[in-house]
Amino acid sequence: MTVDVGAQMRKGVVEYCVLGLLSREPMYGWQLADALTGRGLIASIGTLYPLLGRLRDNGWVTTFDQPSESGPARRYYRLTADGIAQLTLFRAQWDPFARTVSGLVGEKGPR
Amino acid sequence: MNATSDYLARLDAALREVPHGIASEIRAGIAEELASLEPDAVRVRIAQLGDPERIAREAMDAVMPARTDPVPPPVVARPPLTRTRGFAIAAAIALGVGGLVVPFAGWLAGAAMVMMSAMWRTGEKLVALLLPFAAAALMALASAVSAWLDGGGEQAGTVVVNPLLPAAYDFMHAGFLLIPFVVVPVSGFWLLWRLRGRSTD
Repeated sequence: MTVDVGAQMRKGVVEYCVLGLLSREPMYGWQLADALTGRGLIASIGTLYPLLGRLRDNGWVTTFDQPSESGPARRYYRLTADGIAQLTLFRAQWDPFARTVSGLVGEKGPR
Repeated sequence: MNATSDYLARLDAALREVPHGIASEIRAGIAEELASLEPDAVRVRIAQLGDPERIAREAMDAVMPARTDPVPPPVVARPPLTRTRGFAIAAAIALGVGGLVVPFAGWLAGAAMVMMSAMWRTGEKLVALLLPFAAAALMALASAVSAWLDGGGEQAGTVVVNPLLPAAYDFMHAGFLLIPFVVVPVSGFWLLWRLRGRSTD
């Protein structure tokens, strides 16, 4: 039996990927959905909003409305100070973690 | 009905089962995106968004991951009935007072339950079950000895027996009544006492 390894890994990191995207600039829903689905990190916009809800519940992101040039006001998401701190923690741990995993699983198949 | 309102209506229908807060955010996010586009671009975006049913399903999966990936609750193996304290307590009570409710058969049922229970050692069970018989045997022996002594005295003519007073063996015969009312309940109570501090393994 094999399991969807990619799905398990995405679950672990997708929230931090959103924090990473928002660390560059505030983004609205479709922007985030497009960026994440384009990279295969979420399946659709249906997955995005529950994820954003969790980030907001954790106090890592907040929202603000901004009028758009071509339609109604858009709801933007941006990082809070806690979100920035959380992303910093993740960055500090990600590289050593990824190196450790690579060292353990190797890059080639079993001999 | 234009493409936007048609899509939003289908989305509303699909999101009925999604928790309200999440559903309204998805709806608002998609509505604001579609409202910002020209009609031609709307059709492209709707194609990119995909089937509203799929969006709702994925939202539900994200909100309640267990829905599609059920983790069975840990199965706690229940001990067999005869290994439970409840069964042992019922057995001790049946042994102690069952015979008063249904003479002999009640005690017999209690004895069978005590033997089935795994909460006592075999020695403890035998003590409780044999105690009434031991008491009866002891009383029978004492009665016989008493009768022999009384008979021996009369033969020797040294003891004058008042027939209005009960002889020693009369007390012994009455003592047999103590077995169902005292000895057997004591055996049941003793088994209950031995249960203290023991738990189902």
